[in-house]
Amino acid sequence: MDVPSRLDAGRALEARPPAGPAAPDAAEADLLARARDGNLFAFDEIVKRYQRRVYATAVRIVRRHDVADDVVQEAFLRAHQALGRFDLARPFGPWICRIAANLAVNHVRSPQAREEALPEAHAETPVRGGSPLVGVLETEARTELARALEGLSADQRAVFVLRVFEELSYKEIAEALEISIGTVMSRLSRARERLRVALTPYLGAAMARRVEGGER
Amino acid sequence: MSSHPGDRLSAFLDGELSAAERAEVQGHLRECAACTRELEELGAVDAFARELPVEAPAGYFDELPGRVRARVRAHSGSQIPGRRPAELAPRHAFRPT
Repeated sequence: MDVPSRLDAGRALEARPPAGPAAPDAAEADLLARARDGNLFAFDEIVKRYQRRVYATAVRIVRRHDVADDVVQEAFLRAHQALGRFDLARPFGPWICRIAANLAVNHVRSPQAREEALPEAHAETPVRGGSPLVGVLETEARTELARALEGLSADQRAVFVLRVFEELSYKEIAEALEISIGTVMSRLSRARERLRVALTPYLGAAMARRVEGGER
Repeated sequence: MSSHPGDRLSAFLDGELSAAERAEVQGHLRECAACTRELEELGAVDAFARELPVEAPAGYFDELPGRVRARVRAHSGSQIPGRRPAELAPRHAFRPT
């Protein structure tokens, strides 16, 4: 997964424009065209390209591997069925992730989901080493973040995931989840606020340390 | 001092405000250290969340394409997305030779 190289809160002061769609990939468009014509091997390649990204979207929302697995399979199946309507000039990634997020939220809202036991494992597994955050924000902070993410509603997590990980615009998120842009704005704000409050002790220490260490 | 931005602070972070709203929030941030700090922390939350890796059970991604293929095959049968059955046959299929 591509991640920022470091905790860079200072740059947050610069408002970011909504992410635009990535430039379509000619090889990918060719694969999709062949998949649309019934070539399952071409669709296999598409699945291989996007399976990790789609799984990450799903599991971050539903918080359970078995449910995320169902969501991922269903998302690819629906994408395949809808390929005839898909504009090959557009990037496939955001589209399949929107499908997965919609399925994930609908699952969590379903009566079946309410009967299921609460998840025992975190969707994200804290790991040590390799990250500049390690040593600044320790395992305790990661655990706290994972717990705070679980404390959000699935609706809040879905908006947070589509914005923060997929970098969709509010309009795209609204369309994917069939809600208004105002609802996107309020859910995202509340989600971030809850996470911020949960992490405040660690964020403060990290930012103070950054200032002491000087900017690169 | 202007009123605190509330939900708009998160939208400001995402560049999702109108020009007028953005200017209003920027003006507020110049006067309000608490909101400036909160904005920094909101950005830090995003960055921190992106650092959390997602892991699936070992071998999961080796098997998933095959499982998806099986489901696609089971559901689509002879149907091919984007084409109607009439389009599948070559135009000359029934032409006498």
